[in-house]
Amino acid sequence: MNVLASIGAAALITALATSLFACGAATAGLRGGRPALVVLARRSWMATGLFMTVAIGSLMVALLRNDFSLAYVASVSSREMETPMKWAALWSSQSGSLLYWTWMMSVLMAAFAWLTLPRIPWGAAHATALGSGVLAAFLAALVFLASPFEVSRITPADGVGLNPLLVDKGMLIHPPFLLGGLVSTSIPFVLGGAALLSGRIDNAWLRSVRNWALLSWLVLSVGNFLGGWWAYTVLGWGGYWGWDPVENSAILPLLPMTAFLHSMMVQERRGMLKLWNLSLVAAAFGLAVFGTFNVRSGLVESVHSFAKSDVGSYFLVLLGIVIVVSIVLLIWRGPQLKPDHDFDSLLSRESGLIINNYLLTAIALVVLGGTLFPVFSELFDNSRITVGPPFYNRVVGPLLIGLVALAAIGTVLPWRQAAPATLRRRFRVPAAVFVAAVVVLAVFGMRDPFALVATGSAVVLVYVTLREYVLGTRGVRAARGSNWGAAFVSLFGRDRRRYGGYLVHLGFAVMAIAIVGSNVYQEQVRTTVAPGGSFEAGGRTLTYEGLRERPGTANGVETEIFAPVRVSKGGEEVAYLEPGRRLFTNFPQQPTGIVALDSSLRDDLYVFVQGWDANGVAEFHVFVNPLITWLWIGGAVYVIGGLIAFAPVRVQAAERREVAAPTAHQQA
Amino acid sequence: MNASLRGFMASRRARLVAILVVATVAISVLAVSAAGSSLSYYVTPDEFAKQIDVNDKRWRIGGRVVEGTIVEENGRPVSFVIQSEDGLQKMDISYDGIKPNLFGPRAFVIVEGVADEPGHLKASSVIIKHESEFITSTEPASTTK
Repeated sequence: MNVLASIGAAALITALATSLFACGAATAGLRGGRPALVVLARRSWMATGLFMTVAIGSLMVALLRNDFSLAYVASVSSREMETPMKWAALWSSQSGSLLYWTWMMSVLMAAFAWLTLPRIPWGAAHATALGSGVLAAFLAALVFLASPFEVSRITPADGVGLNPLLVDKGMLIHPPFLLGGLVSTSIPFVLGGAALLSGRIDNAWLRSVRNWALLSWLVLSVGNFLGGWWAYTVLGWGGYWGWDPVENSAILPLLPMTAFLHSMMVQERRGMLKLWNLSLVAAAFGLAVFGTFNVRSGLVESVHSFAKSDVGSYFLVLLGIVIVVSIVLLIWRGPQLKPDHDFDSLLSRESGLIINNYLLTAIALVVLGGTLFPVFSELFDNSRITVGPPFYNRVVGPLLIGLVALAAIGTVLPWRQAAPATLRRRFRVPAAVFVAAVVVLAVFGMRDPFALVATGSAVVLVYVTLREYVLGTRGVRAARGSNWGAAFVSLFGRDRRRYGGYLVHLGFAVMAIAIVGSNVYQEQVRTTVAPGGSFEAGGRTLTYEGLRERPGTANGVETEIFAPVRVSKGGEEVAYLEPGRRLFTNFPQQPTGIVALDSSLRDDLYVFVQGWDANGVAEFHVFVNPLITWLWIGGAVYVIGGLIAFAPVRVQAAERREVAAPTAHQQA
Repeated sequence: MNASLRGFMASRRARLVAILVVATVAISVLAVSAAGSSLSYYVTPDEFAKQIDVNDKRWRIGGRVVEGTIVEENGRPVSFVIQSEDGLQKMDISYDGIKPNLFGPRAFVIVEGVADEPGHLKASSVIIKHESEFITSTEPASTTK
């Protein structure tokens, strides 16, 4: 008997039991009006997180101890794999990633039950019933369809090792963030569902959902950034986003979550978009479930997808239930979700936010439509037709430019309405900045109209955002007489959400500029060189020095063969790069590439060696990618802004006071 | 037009709706035209073999690389043969692009490109499909009970 496998499997089954009990007890407590049962349900829901931690802990121990009697461990790990890669092995394959996903959900839900449930007496029972029900549904898949604790009849002496493509440090952070981001959409969904179920459909759920939605949006964003960075540094095609069906699944939930963070402000300020906001959190969770289904279904062909399995069809059913239940609840409560106000003006912040939501929704629909195109075409035409990256670039590109421009316009637009003279005054300088930026860029040789409009808009967004900081800082200085630095820092304390949000916009603008630069102005050189030979790329001379071999040390790497290149500019050596190929002991005929990068703020020299012949004559593929570093800098600014935007503790204290004095809305 | 309808049309809400409807039409037109130029038909080698006219379309074909058929130029694969999973239908692929990670004999690949003659595809992209079990050409390690 295998102790670890038994502990893990028992913990999984117990977790399923506690989550089912939580769901049942909350429902019974609600129907029978017995608060004690609801309290018990909450504890049971939190206990699920504990048992799931035991389960994932035992799989981790099994991986670290090379317990190859577990089929999962044998299939993804091996004796000589380094410890960090064993961590990565935890989520590298079907059942392990599902365990990680469900563990993450159980822990987030436990945190939610602990931190937020006491503040929402109006919907605690509903949230518990719904949340633990969702958790139980995923646990059931883990227990019955894809358990990572299956024990082999024969214990192999060593495991197969990690899939060569995944032997990379990026694997340690990219999947956990992405999966965590997908999972975290469940919390806003549970809160929205609790609001609908309980009938407390005023702004109460919005106050509690804000930090959770922000967390979900932030983790999803980081997951997508890391995905792009991983693709860029590992895959060797010189790009960071390929509109692969699984990349699409990862970005899809981020779009409604971003829309929600914007549109919730319209509801808070103006009491509009109530139905829409609830729909957005449902859509984000539905798309997250779609993503997990998509990678396991065999529905789409992708570098990321797992093999087709039963779990796929199970998730399809789950997805169907989420969609149907959400729609039924929204239709049921729809008549009560009337706006408190109408628009005062089309040229107002709220209209801007609505158009922002429209654009984000349009992008989501285009991406979803493109991803599902083969499915639709098979249904209607009996042929599987796929759409390629040009489709997404041509349709999503203009929408993204619209989003950048709108972020700039929206920053300037006032809430409600303003006199035409005020509007003219407010827009005069930003419009001038746009024109100036376009003219300057055109003079410097930018001819592509899309690139001009996009970069011009991004420059205006940077300008109006910085102006907000300057105006705010000046205001604080005038009021308090503090110095510039202290006044600037105190801005974030006064309105973290607003000034953190601006920082996100700033990061977004910088990323937009980098995306335009790297797409429109990428150069490629492909050439075959003998050892000692040179070639030119991106204004630099690359000299190939001949092949060198380095024996592998761990993680299944047999050997690494490098094709070292000296990079010089104007006769001076600026970099020494070692692109190469990595060969694996267990997968001898399937090498992976090693990308070599020379990054600067101006551009990246991205060197990839395709291969070589018996004489060491090698074929290089070199990309010169302008401004890529700014993509990561913009991403970092975006993430810092997101971190700042979390609500401070005192706002939450105010919420608690409000809960202590119940309103007329509260139901028995 | 009756009074209430006229009132609605004049309302700000209706104007916003009108703007969004126009935008939706524009995005739809853009999407349809963009899709039309980037479509490819996803088939198996068997299905491809049955096509009468292969010239006017882009194809995506999934198959397994046949061992011993990879022709390399400086280590870069320039042509290879793929076969359907049952091994009954083979087709020739020529390729002029980046060697994908994990490309090798018996890898399951999805090739995309244009066909100039039946049974042959000029691929512009090659994707390696993940499989739950990787194919190793070595025998499994010795086992202990």
